[in-house]
Amino acid sequence: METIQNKDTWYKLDTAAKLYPAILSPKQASVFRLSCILKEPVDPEILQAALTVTIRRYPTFNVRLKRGIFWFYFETNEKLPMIRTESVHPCQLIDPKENNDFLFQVSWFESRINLEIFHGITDGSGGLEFLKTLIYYYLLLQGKTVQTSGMIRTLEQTADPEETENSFHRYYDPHLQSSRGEEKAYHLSGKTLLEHQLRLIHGLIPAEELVNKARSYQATVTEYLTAVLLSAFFVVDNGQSDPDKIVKISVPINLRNLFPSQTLRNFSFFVNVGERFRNRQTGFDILLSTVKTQMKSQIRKDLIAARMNPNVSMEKNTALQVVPLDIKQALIKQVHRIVGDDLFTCSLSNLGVIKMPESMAPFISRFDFSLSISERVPLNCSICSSNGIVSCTFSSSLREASVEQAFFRILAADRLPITIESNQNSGKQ
Amino acid sequence: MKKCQQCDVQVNTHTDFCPLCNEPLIVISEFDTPPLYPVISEQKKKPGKLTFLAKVFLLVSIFTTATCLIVNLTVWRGVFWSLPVAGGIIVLWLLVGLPLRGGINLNYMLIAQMVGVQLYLLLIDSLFGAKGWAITYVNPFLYIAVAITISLFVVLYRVEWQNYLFTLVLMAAIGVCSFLNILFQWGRVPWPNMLAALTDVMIVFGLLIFAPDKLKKEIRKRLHL
Repeated sequence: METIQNKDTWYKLDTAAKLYPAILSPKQASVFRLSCILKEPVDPEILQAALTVTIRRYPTFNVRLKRGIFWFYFETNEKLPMIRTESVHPCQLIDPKENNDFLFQVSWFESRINLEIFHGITDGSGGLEFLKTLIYYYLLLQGKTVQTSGMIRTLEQTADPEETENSFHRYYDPHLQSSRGEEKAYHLSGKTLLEHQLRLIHGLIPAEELVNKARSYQATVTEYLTAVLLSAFFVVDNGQSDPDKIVKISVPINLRNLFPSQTLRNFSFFVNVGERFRNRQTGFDILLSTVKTQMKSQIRKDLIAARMNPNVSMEKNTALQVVPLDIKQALIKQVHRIVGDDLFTCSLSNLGVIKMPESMAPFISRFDFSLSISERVPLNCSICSSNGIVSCTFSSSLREASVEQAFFRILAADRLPITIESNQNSGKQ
Repeated sequence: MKKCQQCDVQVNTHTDFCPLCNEPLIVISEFDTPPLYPVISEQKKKPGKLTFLAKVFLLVSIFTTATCLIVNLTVWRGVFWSLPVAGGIIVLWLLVGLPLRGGINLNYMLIAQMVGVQLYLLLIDSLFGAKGWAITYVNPFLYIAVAITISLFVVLYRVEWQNYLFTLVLMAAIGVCSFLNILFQWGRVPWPNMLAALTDVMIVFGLLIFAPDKLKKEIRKRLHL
């Protein structure tokens, strides 16, 4: 089998990735998890073999993070990524030293395969492509009759050079810029779990029923669930907070849908959608209408471009380029605090429908998607849909699951059947 | 499968209480769900003895330095003898603390130790008679020893040789000090610094002859050009 990556190959971090090494800490791991639940228990030997093949197809995953004089960079990792049994809480900081220098890791438990990725190397869409290839080779090596049907990237097809590009640069327009200044958002607080713990609560909803429910409100699934999440925050707060404070949900946008790109690196942005506590009792229909209006007015190619261009401008700024790495890291950390975590209460990231070839579908039960949390944002929500099931996952470091409770109770009250699963195996807390 | 009547949701988890509201669940089907997640050992990592010892030594270091400084200033006899004590403690941390800490590139550690020891010896030399033995003999020979050690790494550890390559570039840059010593006649005799300068020239030409392309690529990577 040919190696498709020269060992001298190196990559600059993409525009979004430059942020992550600066803010990295055990309390802000910047890791997301994509899980595939198969219908049979995982065979670890075959999974390892599948990973060994898959990594050759994804040169931007086959890297280690190195310090330069002015910036971090990725260089080819000549070691092999090793799978492991799931033995720690989800979405923890990936320590490259314990992971053959890789910035992603594959673990397994019973019939579930987890791919956890440091956000510096890719976003959810890029990670999903890797996981799909991994599952394809896993099933193929198991002797199953599976075809790619043009939906899986394999070693047989030539990798498009566009896959490794920084698409933020391709669509950069220095003349189109807008301010990133925004009002600070309300932040959830409460007693927390231990530092290395993360609670996952998955709510499984039949996709068809959820889509029909959203349609009945003339909304998309993301708009509907965002409104439900805002309502959940209002229920939990119960009039305790300052009425002028605003709850803001950060909704990541896959830029590939607006700016055509094949990149497997980060190429996503976000819009913040919010409502003040003062308007908590205006009713769900009005709240959903507000969400729809805000999302439609923000998700416009020109507006998104104007908000993402300043990041590229900063990156290209000659004066900033020659600032030594450590000083630059400290600056980025401070800027992130001002235009990052402070501006939203919680994320709601919808990966959409995960389509797999028909030949592979019978072996797959469903996919799950989970996000890590940070000190300022201790709760995040992530959604994906597969095999007719929408998996809505809350990751939280808070002891109380009050937002999750309110969220799923609102959905249940809206007559949606919900099945809850969690990584909490023990009894009452 | 179980059900939470308060939340009106089905619960498919190995627990008797609802993950959302903590209320007891009602069993609605006896079908035994396989465990969804492993039971994670919640044992917190105990700080190693080394970490504790390091903290003790850090406290002792600060106490010793502060005490010496106070005594030195209170009973002043014309010599700043507390400076070599403080410097000695820093050098001890560089020589012993850095290797024990781990996780640092061996070459960078060697360079940090070399520079630390050289500065320390220059300090002692200048404080006690300024006879120039450090700049004349110790510093150039220390430089030669470290340069030879790192060059051996490049030859022996080919897998990771890119890392050592850049370290050699750093060593070549540090070697400029030997030329300055000769130029400004800081040492008592020139030959040890001439040997160090020769080593520096050998490093530079070695890099240019054996790895010109690799060197260019490595510099481009590090400087992000």
